[in-house]
Amino acid sequence: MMHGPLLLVVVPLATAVICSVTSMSAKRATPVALLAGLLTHAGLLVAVAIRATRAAGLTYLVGGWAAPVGIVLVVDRFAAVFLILLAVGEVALTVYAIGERTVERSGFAVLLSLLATALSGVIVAGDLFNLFVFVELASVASIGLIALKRRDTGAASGFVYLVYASVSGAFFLIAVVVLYASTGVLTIAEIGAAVDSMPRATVVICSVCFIVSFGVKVGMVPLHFWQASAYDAAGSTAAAFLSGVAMKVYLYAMVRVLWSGLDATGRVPAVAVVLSVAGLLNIVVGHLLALGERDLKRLLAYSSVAHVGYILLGLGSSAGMVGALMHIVMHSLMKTGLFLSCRPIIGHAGSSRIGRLGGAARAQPVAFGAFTIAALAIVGIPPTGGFASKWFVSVAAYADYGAVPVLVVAAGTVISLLYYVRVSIAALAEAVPQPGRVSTTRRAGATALVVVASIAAATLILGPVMTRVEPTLRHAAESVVDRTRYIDLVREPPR
Amino acid sequence: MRHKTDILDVAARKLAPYMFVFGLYLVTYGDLSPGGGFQGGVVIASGIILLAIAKSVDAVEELIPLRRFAVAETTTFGLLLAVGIGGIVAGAGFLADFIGRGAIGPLPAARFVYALNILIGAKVAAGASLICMHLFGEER
Repeated sequence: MMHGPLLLVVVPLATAVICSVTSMSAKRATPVALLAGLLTHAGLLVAVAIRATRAAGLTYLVGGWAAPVGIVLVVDRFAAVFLILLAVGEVALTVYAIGERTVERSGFAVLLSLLATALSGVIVAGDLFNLFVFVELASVASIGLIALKRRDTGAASGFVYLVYASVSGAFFLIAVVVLYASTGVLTIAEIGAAVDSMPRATVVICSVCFIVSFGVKVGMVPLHFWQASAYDAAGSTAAAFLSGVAMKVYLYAMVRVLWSGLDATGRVPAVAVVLSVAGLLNIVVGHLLALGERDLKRLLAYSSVAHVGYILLGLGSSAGMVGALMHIVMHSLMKTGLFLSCRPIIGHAGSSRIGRLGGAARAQPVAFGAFTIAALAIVGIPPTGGFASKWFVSVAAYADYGAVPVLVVAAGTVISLLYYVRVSIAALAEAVPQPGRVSTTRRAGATALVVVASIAAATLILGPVMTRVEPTLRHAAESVVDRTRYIDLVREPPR
Repeated sequence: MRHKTDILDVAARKLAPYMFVFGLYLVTYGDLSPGGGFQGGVVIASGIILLAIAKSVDAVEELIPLRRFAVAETTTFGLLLAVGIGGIVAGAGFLADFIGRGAIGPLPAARFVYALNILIGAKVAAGASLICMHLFGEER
């Protein structure tokens, strides 16, 4: 357990290697290898998260070399929340993919383990160089997952994402170059300690570069154009992981560099305003695009764009970190639930066009029920967890910016209710016989339905118990808002 | 390949073995002199790629099947990870030296780095050639 933070990266990497060997020689062993590897990884994630929360943070020096020279891996309470999210997402997805046989798609197991490696690396990385490498590894694995399912549209969407990801990487590198030139270190905590003597212009330039770089990855309007086609091409299983977990980890990285590294909102108050305005723009544009969308998977993708908006709005408010964190947790669950439960529905209808979903509710009652619960939660109907997180974000935004953001949030809620009700009505309608319709009569496997139902149950339960979870999340938020804690954790590691 | 000449054919066939030898030299002497696993691996791969360009991908595939490249790459990567985890098992930390240093006459022998260089060289040579073979293969 002493090597916990490092093993978080090594275990899924070894899983990727084993899966790639089994996919060449013994195809039947791949699901077993994937399940064993990622369950071990999830166990480690939870164990490290619990230890980090109890001890108020863990640091690991790779090779025993201390911070400015060596590679340092850091898990504070804020990072621990994301480790838990990754563990939950990866277990749900692995079990679901094995139940639905998605895992037999050539390369899926390897790419999923590589993505898990990269995301764990992003969470534990304590310096900008390793952060960059793991973010790029995550991009490569995501492109593979996007392009895997269908040859033509998949390759096109994967290429579009590749271009966007390169632009994102370029902006990241510019910021790294500027920071390294002005401080001479790459460790985030060391940069954080040196930031007070840095010219304000440098902080502004680096903040803008990081916001654009991660804005591409999370789908900040107007950098969101890759998202709908990518999630559509990726298939519901991969899209659930990309939207439910990967996007949250990018948000984590953005908060880590902007708060712990640059003290962006403290040194440059305009950054908070930019984040809030971007958030409001995302809410409005995302919901309107979803309202006009006729394809279920693209609708869910645009809904993701809108919900990044709530998180950004929380981040841009001075007391909004808790709300943002809450919405990150809730959206991760809700969006995973929506994508995974829409797969059997789409599979029955033979098309992801909303107009053709007729009869799906009757044929797939469990999946449809889970979809409805997750949809109610994401719309924000009390007592679901989605309501609680939106409430916390709204309260924090009201304190800083007055009634306008609250009205936007309310309007977004109404619009999202409209489009999810439209989907439900379409699915509840009688099946209209259509010539040339290919319906897969195969019912969704029991394993998949259990996964979907438990995620739906979690979104329901998290609402009433949110008051219990809130103190943990508040501690997590404090450990990033109070910058000195992270810096002290790395500079004077607890023995 | 359509425009092939005897000069290209002869030059490539005579040059490639020297590139392999030089690559192997870089890999095996990387712990003592400039070079190393990655650099040597790339040189070996460029020899293979030269053959693929000057002759054809099929000719190289006849020599070494592409599947064997893939097996070599994953196996060496797995071994590399195993060596890394071996360091943890030995109680020293990931990728830490658990073999210890020796000496060849007056020269120090960094046996651990030597072993890592060979693994990395094999992985990089197989991986880089595999990528290029697949890219060349697309044209067919």
